[in-house]
Amino acid sequence: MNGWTGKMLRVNLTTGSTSVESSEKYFDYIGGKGMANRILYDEVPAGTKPLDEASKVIFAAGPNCGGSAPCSSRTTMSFLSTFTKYNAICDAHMGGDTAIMMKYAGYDAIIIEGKSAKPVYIAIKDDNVEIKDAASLWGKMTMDTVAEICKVEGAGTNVVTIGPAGENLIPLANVLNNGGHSGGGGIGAIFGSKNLKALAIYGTKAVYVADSAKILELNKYVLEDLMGSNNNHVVPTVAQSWSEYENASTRWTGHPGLTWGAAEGGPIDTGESPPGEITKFGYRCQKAVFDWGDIAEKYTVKMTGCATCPVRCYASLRVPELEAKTGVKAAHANTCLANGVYARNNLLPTFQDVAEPGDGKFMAGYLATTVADDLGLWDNYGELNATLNYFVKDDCALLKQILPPAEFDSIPWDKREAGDITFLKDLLEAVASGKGELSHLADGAYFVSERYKSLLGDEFLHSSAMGLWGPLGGKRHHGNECAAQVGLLTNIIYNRDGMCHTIVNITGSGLPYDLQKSIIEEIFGAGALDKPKAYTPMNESKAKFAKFGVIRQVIHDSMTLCNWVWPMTFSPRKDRGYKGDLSVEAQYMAAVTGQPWTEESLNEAAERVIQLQRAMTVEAVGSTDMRNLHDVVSNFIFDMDPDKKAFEEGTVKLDRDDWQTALTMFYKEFGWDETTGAPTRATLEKFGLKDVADALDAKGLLPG
Amino acid sequence: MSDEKKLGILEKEYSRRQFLKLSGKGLAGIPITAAMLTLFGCTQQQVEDGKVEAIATPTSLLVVNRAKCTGCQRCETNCTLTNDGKAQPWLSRLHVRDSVVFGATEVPADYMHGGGFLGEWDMGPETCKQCADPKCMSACPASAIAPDPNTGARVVDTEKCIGCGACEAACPWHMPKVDPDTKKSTKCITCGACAAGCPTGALSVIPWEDVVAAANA
Amino acid sequence: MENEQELLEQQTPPVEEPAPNETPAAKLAACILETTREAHVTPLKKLKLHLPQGVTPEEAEALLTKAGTPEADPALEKIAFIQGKKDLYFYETTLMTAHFAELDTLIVEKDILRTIATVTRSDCKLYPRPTQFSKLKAYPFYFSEDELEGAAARMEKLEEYADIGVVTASNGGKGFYSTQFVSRGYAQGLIEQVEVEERENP
Repeated sequence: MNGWTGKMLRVNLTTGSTSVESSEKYFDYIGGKGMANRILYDEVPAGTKPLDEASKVIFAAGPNCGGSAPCSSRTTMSFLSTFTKYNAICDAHMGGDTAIMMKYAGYDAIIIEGKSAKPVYIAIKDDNVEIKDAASLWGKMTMDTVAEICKVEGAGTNVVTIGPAGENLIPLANVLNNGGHSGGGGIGAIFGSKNLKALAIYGTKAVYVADSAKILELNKYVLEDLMGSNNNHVVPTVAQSWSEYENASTRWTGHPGLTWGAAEGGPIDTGESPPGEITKFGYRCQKAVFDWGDIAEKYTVKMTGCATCPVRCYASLRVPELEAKTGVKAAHANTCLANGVYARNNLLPTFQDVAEPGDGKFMAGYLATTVADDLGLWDNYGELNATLNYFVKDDCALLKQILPPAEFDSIPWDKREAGDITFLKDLLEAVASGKGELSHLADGAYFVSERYKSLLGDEFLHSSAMGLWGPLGGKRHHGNECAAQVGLLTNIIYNRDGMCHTIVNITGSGLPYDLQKSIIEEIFGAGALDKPKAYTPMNESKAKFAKFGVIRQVIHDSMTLCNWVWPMTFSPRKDRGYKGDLSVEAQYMAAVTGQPWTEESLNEAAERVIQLQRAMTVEAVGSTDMRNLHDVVSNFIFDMDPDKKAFEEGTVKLDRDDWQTALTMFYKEFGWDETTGAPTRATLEKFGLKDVADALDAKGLLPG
Repeated sequence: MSDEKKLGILEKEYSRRQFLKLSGKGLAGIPITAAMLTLFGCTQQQVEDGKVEAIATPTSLLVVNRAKCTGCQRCETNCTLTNDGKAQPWLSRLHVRDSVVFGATEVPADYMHGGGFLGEWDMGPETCKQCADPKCMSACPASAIAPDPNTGARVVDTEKCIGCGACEAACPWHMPKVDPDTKKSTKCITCGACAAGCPTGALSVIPWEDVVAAANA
Repeated sequence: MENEQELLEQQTPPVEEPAPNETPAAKLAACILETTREAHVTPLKKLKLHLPQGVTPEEAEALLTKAGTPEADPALEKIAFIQGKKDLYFYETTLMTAHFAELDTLIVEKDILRTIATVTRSDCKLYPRPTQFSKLKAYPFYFSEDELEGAAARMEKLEEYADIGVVTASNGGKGFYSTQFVSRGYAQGLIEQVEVEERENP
C-alpha cells in the first residue's frame, strides 16, 4: 500500500491487550485529524468525560507523512477537551518526530483506550508492542523520562511523555517529544488518568510511495519556487540584495550579519538565502531573535525543529549562565508564544539580572519555558499566564480570596518582590502539583470562571486581559486582529484556541497589501482581504476566504503537513509574481498514494472532516443552537478601543450586528442551518455522513 | 590539459591518497587554508573541535559539519526515495535518526550536557567513508561489492548479492543495510542526494578540483 | 586500491581554458558583478578611480552611461544603474533588485533625511505600515537612536519632509509615517500593531 500503512494499532490499558486492525475504512477522512476524529466519533459515546475510562486518545498521521514532503511530521491527537466548556472534540498537533516514527513503525493511527491499574508506558518497535511498567518513571520530569526510556528502548526512540502536570490531572497538561515539541488540549491529563506515562516508538519500515520521482520533483519545486520561511513568510525582515521588499514583522529573519552566535566553533552567519538555493534554506528563519529579541543571538547554537522540515523554527539556545545560577537546564527549545510567555505581563514585576544588565526578562522567560515543558504544563497560547496574571494583579486581590491563607503564604512572595526569576519555577511547580487551590488556575479559563463565578462574574471570560475568542474558553488565536471577521470565523470552528494558520500566513507574509489583495481576490472575489486595521463590513468573499482557511488547516492536519507553513498561497519569487500554488497538496497526495487526488477531491474530504467535527460539537453542546451556545465571541472584541468605531481606520474592533451577518454567511458556505449554525441532514448526507445525520436526528439535534 | 598534468597536481598538492593518510578523523591536523575553510563552510575552530568530518570519496570530498546539522533528517528520506523508490530512513545510506535525540547512538550519562535535542544540540550524520580498504567489501562472501568504474564508489552488485548482511556486520559504522523488501544490501553510491537536499549545507560534496584549488590558494 | 588513481583520472573533468581577451565592457561588468555580490552598488566615481587594467576613464563613462539602453554593449546587458543625487550607481540585475540598489544608493550618499523619507513613504504606501525605528537601526541602515531622533527633529522644520511624522506605541517603540499615505490616527493604530499586538499574538 502506498502512503497509508493501512494499519492501526489498538492498545487497551484496562486489559493490557494490543491488536492491529485495518485503517482502510477511514481513508475517506484522509488520515491524521480526519481519521482520528472519525475513530473518536465511532468509539467514544457522546457525553463521555475526558478522564473517564471510556475516553480515548487517538494518535494519527496522514498518507503524506513519512514520504518526505517539507514539513510533514506533525502528529494529530484527537480526544475530548479537558479544559473548554462541553468537553467537546478537540485535536492537538505536535511536531517533532512522533508522526514519522509511527508511520515507519507501520501505523496510520494508534488508539489508546481503557485505564491501567498502575503506571505504564507503551513501547512500540515495529510489530512488537509491549505495555511496560512505569513505576520508576512516575513523578519524573519529561526530559528525564525520555532519557530513562531511551536507555531501555534505544537512543533513537521517539518518546511522547507527560510530566508531573499530566500525572496530577491538571487540565492544562500536555505531552511532549524531543524536548519542547508539545501537544496540548489537555491530552496530558487524559494520559495521567489512564496511568499512562509515555509512548515510545521506533520504526524501521518503509512508507511506500507510488511515484518517488514525482515526490522528489515536488520537493524541489516547493523548496526552490514556493516556500518562504516559517509561516510561509515570503519577504525577509530586512532588505537583501535579491529582494524587492522587506517587512520587519516576518519570520524570514536571517540576513548578513545575523548569526547562530553560539554555534560550535564560532558564529555561523545566516547570510542571504535567496529563493532557489535549497542548501541555504535553513538559515532563513533565525527564530531566536524573532521569539526572544536581539539578546538571544549570542546564545543561539542552531535552529532545530521537526523531522522533514527545512524551515527549522525551534530556536535552540544554550544559556550556561542561567544554569549556573538557577540549576535550570542550559539548553532547551520551544517555538512561538511558548517562548518566554511567563515573563510577559506581571507575574514578575521586576527581573534580577543573570549574566548582564537588563537580561532578567529574557532569562526569566527562558527559565519558565524550560520548567513548564519539563513539568508537562501547557500554556494554552498564553491563557495560563493570562489567568495567573488576572489573579495576581492589584496586589493579588483575587488570589487572596481564593487561596487559604496558609497556601497563600507558602508561595515565596519575597522572591517575587526581589525579582528573583526562580519565583516562576516555584509558581509553575506549585500549579502543576495538583495540590491546593492554586492548581485550579490551570483548569482552563472556562472552568476557572465557573469555579470562581461569584468573584469573577462575566467579566473574566469576556475581558481583553484574557483574550479568549469566546466564553467557551478557547484562546483567540489569529482572530479578529487577523483579517477581521475572516480570522475570527476560523476560531469558532474549534473547541479550543483557533488553530488555523492559513489566514495569518497570508496577512503576515510580508508582501505589500495590493499584491496580497490581488492574489487573494482572484481566488475568493472582491473584498476578501481588508487592509490591516482598516476593516470593512462582512461580505461573501470573506466567508469563502474563511472557509478556505479552515479547510486547508484540515487538509494539512489530515494528510499531514504543517499548517504553520502550508499552504503555499504566496511565493518568494518575483518571477512568479509572488503567486504560490494551491494545488501542491493534491499533487503530493496523488504522487504518494497513486490515487487521482485533485484540489477539489481533497477539499471535499476535508470538508467531510469538518462536517463531522461540527456534528460532534452539536452532540456535545446538546443543542442545535450553535450560534448562541457555541459560536459566541468575547465582548472585548466589540468593545476595544472605546474612542474608535468599528470599521474606522486604526482599530480591529468588530461590530456586533456585522458579526451576526458574518456567522450567517459562514454557515451558508458550509451548508449549515443559517439560523442555528448546525449541520443539516442534506449537508451531512452530501458528505456521506448519513449515519451521523441519523444519530443526530434520533437525539433531536438536526435543525429545522 | 593532459591526464599526466592533472595527476601531477593531485599527486603533488593534495591527492585523495594523501588526504586519506592525513585525515583519520575529520580534518584535524591537516594544514587548512582560508580558502578551504570558505569552501567547506566551516571555521578553524570547528575543525579543531572535531565538529567537521571530511570523507574523501573518489570524485569529491564529502564534508559533514555538525555545527550546521539541525536534525531534520531530510538526508535520510532523500537518500531512500532516490535510491530505493520508497521512504525508509532506517535503510538510508547515511545515519542520523538514531543520534538526533542525544547526539550519539547511546544515551550519555549526563544527557543534559550531551548532544541532540535533549542535550545541547551537537548532532550530525554518519556517512559512508568509501574506505580505501573497505571492510564491507572484504567481508562479502559473494564478492558483490566493488568500486564502480565510473565513480569509484564501492557499490553493491545486486545480481551477486545474497543478502546475508555480512557487509553490515563488518562495517565499523554498520552503514550498509539489507533491504527487507529486496533482500539485497544497500550502500552509499555517492549520488549526492543527501547533500543536495540538506537545507543548511551541513552536508556538502566538494569536487576534488575545488579542494585542490583551495589548498593552493 | 591499485586502480584508484586511474579512476580519479577518468573522473576529473577537463579544466576550462582561460577566457579570451576580455573587452573593456566585460571587465567593467565583472567589476560591478563583484561588488554586487557583496550586496553593494558601484559608484561611477569610485569605479573610475579603480579601473580594470586597460580601461580608460573615458571608455568607462561612455560604456556605462549606455547601460540599460538599447545601445548598451552586450557585455553590459545585465548592468543597470540608479541616478543618485551625487553620482551614478551601478549593479548587476540578476543578483540585485532595483529596490535594494536604491536603498544602498541612499545609504552610500549618507543623506539620512532622504533615506528615512524614501523608506517611510514606501512602507506607508505599500503595506501600509510605519517605518519602525528598529528597522532603521538594523542592516543595511545601522542608524543610531540619536541619529533617528535628530533626523525626526530636523525633518519637522523642512518643507520637503512636511508629510513625515513620528508615532509611538505603548511599549515606547517609535516609527515614522507619511501623511501622503496614512493619517496620524491610522499610523498610531498601525504602530501599536507592529510593535505590541503582533508580539502578543505571534
